[in-house]
Amino acid sequence: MTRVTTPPAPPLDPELAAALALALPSDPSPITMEDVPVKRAEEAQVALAVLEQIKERDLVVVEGKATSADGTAVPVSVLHRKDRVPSSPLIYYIHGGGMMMGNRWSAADVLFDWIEHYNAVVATVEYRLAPEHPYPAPQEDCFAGLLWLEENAARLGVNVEAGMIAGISAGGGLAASVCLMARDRGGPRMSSQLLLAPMLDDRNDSISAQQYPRGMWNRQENELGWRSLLGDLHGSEEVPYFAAPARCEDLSGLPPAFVDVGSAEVFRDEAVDFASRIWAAGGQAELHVWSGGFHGFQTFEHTALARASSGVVRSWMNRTLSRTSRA
Amino acid sequence: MKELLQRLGALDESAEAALKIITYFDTLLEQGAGIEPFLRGAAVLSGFPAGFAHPVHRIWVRVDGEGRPLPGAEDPQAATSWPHKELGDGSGGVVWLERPGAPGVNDALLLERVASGLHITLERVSPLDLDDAGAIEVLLSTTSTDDARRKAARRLRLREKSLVRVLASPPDAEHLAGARSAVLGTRVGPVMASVVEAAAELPPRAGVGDAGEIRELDRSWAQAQIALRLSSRVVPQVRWEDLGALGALAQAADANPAVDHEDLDAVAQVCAEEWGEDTLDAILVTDSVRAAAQELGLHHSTVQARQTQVERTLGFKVGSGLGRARLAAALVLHRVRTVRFEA
Repeated sequence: MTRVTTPPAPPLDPELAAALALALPSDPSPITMEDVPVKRAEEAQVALAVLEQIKERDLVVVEGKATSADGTAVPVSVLHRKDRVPSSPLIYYIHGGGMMMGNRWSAADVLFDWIEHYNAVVATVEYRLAPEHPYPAPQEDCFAGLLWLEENAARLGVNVEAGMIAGISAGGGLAASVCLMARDRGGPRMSSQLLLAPMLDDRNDSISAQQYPRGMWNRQENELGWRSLLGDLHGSEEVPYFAAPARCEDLSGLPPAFVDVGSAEVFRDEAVDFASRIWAAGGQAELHVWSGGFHGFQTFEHTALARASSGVVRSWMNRTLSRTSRA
Repeated sequence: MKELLQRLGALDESAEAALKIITYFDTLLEQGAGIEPFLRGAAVLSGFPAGFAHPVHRIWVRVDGEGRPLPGAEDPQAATSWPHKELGDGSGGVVWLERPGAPGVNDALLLERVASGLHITLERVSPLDLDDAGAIEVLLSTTSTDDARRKAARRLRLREKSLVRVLASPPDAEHLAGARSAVLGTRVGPVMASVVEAAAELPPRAGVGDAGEIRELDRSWAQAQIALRLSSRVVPQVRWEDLGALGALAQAADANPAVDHEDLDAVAQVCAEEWGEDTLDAILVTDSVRAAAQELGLHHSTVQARQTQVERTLGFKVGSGLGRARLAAALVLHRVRTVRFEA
C-alpha cells in the first residue's frame, strides 16, 4: 500500500484565511454523494429568491427550450433590462456545482452585475446533472443551448458570434467544452470565453490536486465530480476532450480566453496549463493566478484579493466587449 | 464543503459573535496579515466604517462597512468622538468605529483586538537596525541629518510635533519609566541621557535641558550636561532655564580651558573638606547663616564657624553683596573644570 504524502502547499491569503475560519468549522468534511440531494434542495431555495429579485429589478425574461442531442428539452432563460440596446452584448452563462449540483440561477449576482454594468443580454442554461445524467448529457445540453441562441438570434435580438460564453468551476469546464465542440462541429463560434476557476481535467493528478486533499473543492470532491460525470469512462484513457478539455492536445482556433484560478486550489495547474497551451497554439488568452486564493474565494467580497480579482475580470470584460462599464 | 460559503456580514451582539471576533483577528495575526485586513475586518464585522490614524507611521485610513476605502482622517482627534482604542504604546496611534449612538456590546472587544493586532503588525514591519541607544545618539548628535533624526524619532516612537527635552543624570541612576534613555560617553565620563516629554517628572538628580522640538534635542542635551555638572547634593536638580547667564558662563568656560583664576583654586581647597561643597551651596541658596543652617540641618553656630573658615580660604566675604556673586561664579567654573562621572 503506497503511502500518499501531501506535498507542501501554497498557503492561503491571510485575510481569506481569517474569513474562512469564521465561515467553516475547523476541519470540514468533504461533500459525499449523500450530501448532493441536500445541496440541490438548498440551491432550489436560492433559485426562488433569485426569481423574486428578477421581478424586483423589473428585468425582461424570455424562457426557451433547447433540444439536446438525445432529444431532451433543456430550459434556457434569457434576461435583460427593459432599456437594453441593439448592441447589448450576449453573455451565455454556464453555472457551476461540480457537475452534480447547482442550477441556472446559481451565483445569479454575477448575472445581475453584467446586466447592470454592460446592459448585457444574459442567457443561462439548465443542463442536466451527473450522476443521473453522465457525459455527454451536460455537455450536449450546453451546446444545444448555444444552438438555440443562434437559431433564435433574430427573435432575441442578439449577435451570438459577437457574444461571450462564461462559466464558473464546472461551468467553466463546460464553457471550454462548448467552445471545443463548436470549433470541431463548425457550430456557432463566440467571440470570447470567460473561464473562472474552470474544472478541466478528470485525471486529477496534478501537483496542485495533490496539494489540496482538504479544503474548498478538494481533490476528493473533484474525484467525486468527475466520477459522477464519466461513470465507467472514469480512469480510462478514452475520456474524450469534450468531457475534459485539458485532454485536448490541439487548442488552436478557440475564442480568446480569460482564465483565473487561485494558487491554493486543486484547479491551479490545469488552468495554467490550459492557458499556456492556447498560447503555444498561437491563440489569445489571459491568465491570472491569485496568490493564496482557494476555490471560491471571490465569495468574500470585502477582501483585497476578491476585490482585485473582480476588478481584473471587469478589466478584461471591458476590453473584450469594447465598452466601458457604468461603475 | 458541506457548508455553503457566504460573504461575511456584520456580526450580532451574541457571545458567539465575540468568539468569532477573536478567531478572525487571531487568524489575521497568526497568518501575518498587513494593516488593511485588520481595519477591513473591523468594518465588515461591525457593519460600520472604521478608521485608523497613526501619526508616527503617518498612516491615515478609513474603510466603509463593506471594506471599501474612504477618505482618511488626518486628525487623530476625529477618533475620540467615536468608540475608539489607542494603540497603548504612547505613539498616538488610534483605531475607531464610526457607530452612531451607543457602542455595541462587542465593540470594546473588537477595538481591543484590532488595536493590538495593528500594534504588533507595525512593530513587526518597523526597522530594527537602530537600537534605542543608537536612536538616542542620533537625536542628540549635532551632526545627524534630518532624515536620520526622523528615522530615530520613529524608532523611539516620538511624535513628530511633540515637545521634548533631555535630562542628564549620573550613569548609575535608575531609568525613568516612559523615558528613552541611554548612557552616553561625554568629555566628563559616562552620563545617562533621557529624552522625555517637556512636562515629564524629574528624577532625583538631573540636569534639565530646555524643551523644544525633536530637532532641537542636541542643544537640549548640551544644556542638560552642563546643568548636571552644576548640580550637587544640596541642589540636585538644575534647570538650564534657571541658570541664565551662569549657564552661558559655564558653556564658555567649558569651551575654553584657559579660563582660570585663583578663586577656583580657593574653591577647590574648600571643596576638599568633606563639608565644604554642601556649605558653599547652602550659603548660596539662602540669605542668612540661620537659613543656611536650616538647609543643612545643623546648628547655626556650626555653620557660622564654617562660613568664617570659607571666607579665610577664599579671601573675601560671602555673606552678602558682590562676594556672593563672586562665589557663585567661582563655584560654577570650579565644577565645569572638575566634575567627572564614573561608570
